Amino acid sequence: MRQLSRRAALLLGASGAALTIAGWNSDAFAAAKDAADDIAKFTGGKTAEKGKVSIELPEIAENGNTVPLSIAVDSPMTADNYVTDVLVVADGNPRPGVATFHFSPLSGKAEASTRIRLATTQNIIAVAKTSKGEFFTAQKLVKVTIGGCGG
Amino acid sequence: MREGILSGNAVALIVAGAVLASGSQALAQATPAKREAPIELKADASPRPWKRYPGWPARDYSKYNTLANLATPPAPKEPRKLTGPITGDAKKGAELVADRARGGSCLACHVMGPAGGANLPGNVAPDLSEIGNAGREDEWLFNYVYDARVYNPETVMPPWGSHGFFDEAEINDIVAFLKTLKSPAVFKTELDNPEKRPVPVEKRDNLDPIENPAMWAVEKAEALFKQRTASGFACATCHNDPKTQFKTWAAAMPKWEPRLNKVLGVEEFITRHAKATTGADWMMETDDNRAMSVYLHFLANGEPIKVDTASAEAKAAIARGVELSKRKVGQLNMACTDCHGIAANKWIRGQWLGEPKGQYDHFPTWRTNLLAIWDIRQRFQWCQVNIRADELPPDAKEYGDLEFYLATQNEGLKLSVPGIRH
Repeated sequence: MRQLSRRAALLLGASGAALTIAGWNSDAFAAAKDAADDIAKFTGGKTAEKGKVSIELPEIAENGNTVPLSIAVDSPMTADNYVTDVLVVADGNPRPGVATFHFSPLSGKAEASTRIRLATTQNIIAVAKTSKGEFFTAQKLVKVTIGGCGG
Repeated sequence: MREGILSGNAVALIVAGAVLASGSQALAQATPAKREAPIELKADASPRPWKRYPGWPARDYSKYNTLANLATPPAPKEPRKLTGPITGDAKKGAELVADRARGGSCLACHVMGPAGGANLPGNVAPDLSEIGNAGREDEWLFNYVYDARVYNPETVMPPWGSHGFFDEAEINDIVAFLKTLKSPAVFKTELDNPEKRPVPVEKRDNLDPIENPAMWAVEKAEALFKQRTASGFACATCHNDPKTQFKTWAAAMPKWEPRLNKVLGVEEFITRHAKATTGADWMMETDDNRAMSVYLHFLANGEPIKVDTASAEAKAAIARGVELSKRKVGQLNMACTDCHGIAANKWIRGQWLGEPKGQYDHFPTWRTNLLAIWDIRQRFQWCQVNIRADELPPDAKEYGDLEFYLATQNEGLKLSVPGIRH
């Protein structure tokens, strides 16, 4: 099916490596628990407050390989009140950890964009940490689509 | 033939190249036939016999129509008579209607109450969630699943029984399940409801090299363009200013080629012209051919698609393309127009079915789920295999006719290549 380019070969190699590691705990329940653990570790056990964080993702991803993600946190980003880190987890991936973005007042805005890989329909959760030790969170459900033609 | 051209008059070759690249119809018409772009006339532009890509379903569909060959057994004329009422297993039926390995599952087209968890069903065909209240007889339900052509010869519904997807016992189970459907589907989210699901919008900048990995092909082709073959010639030998010379060329392809008596698209032209000039071996659907096709389309980006339909031969080719687009092919017994005409702008399961307009201006395109560049002919091939028909070699004349027709449906849209799609 695929004419392998060097780039594709590298990408496939990289994803292969990720899957090998993910083989330890691949069921959805374990993934959701891991996501919760990752968040607890990030917040030091504190409960993150809903709000201030916005997540932009397609509601339906036509495939899970490269899903565009943007996150933004409402923050003055001044020296005495700024977002330090944003954790992103995907609770249905074999390895829920997606990324942690680090910011400083010099960032100007607490915004970031990337492409993520989603194994299946699941929640993407972003948690922002501020310099004052507050935590804010948002989550969004992304449906990874089902094709019509079948196997 | 190649020897003759290359060892012959280099000046004539340069003139031929300039005429080809000018894209000026008036100039082309005013010049004698000997100045036409040289093309390989004998060899095929892809391997024979054509072998399906490894990784694509290896099933043999030779019992059914292709775009080149008629083989599908005739439809039954009469409904099958049942000996008694249906006594199938509704629970098994519920599993069968959601089994994606059986030609995509009923949910691809129908909402069916709770079947498959009502997870992203399609809306190509009627919602069957209350079919159990419709008062339909068992025999009617059985035959509609077995082969609906006995009631509607033009139906889009595949002949699930006649074409061997399900046996009679399984269809009995499906009918038993249908009879249990008596209340509207309940969806977990609005996204699951095909009537409320938002239409996908493509927002990515396909010409951004960071966004679209296929942009590497432009660089690769720029290098190929200058690379001399054993003959001592490169594309650049004749085409010394490709950015100007190919500013409109790809937007006017495909075209009727009298020397081959078929329609020639960009990819096949690349194979044949390279073979006849520099001698480069750029068979269709190889990385080099795809890169050159991306590049030549890229140079014409922004140019509205406008193919030459003036000649009687061109008109006849387009008329054949229209007919081919309506031909039922494969085990699923579907035509291009079933999905991209009758069912266009509807959901087949979780996938949006586009109309023909908008399906051509971005090819060759990057496919994010395959990490590969596909040209339009490979897209045709995959569509065929998906509806369980044997595909044709990429340079098949039938694909030429179909591509020509598709180009007319996209007339006026501006090229934007390489595209980016799922």
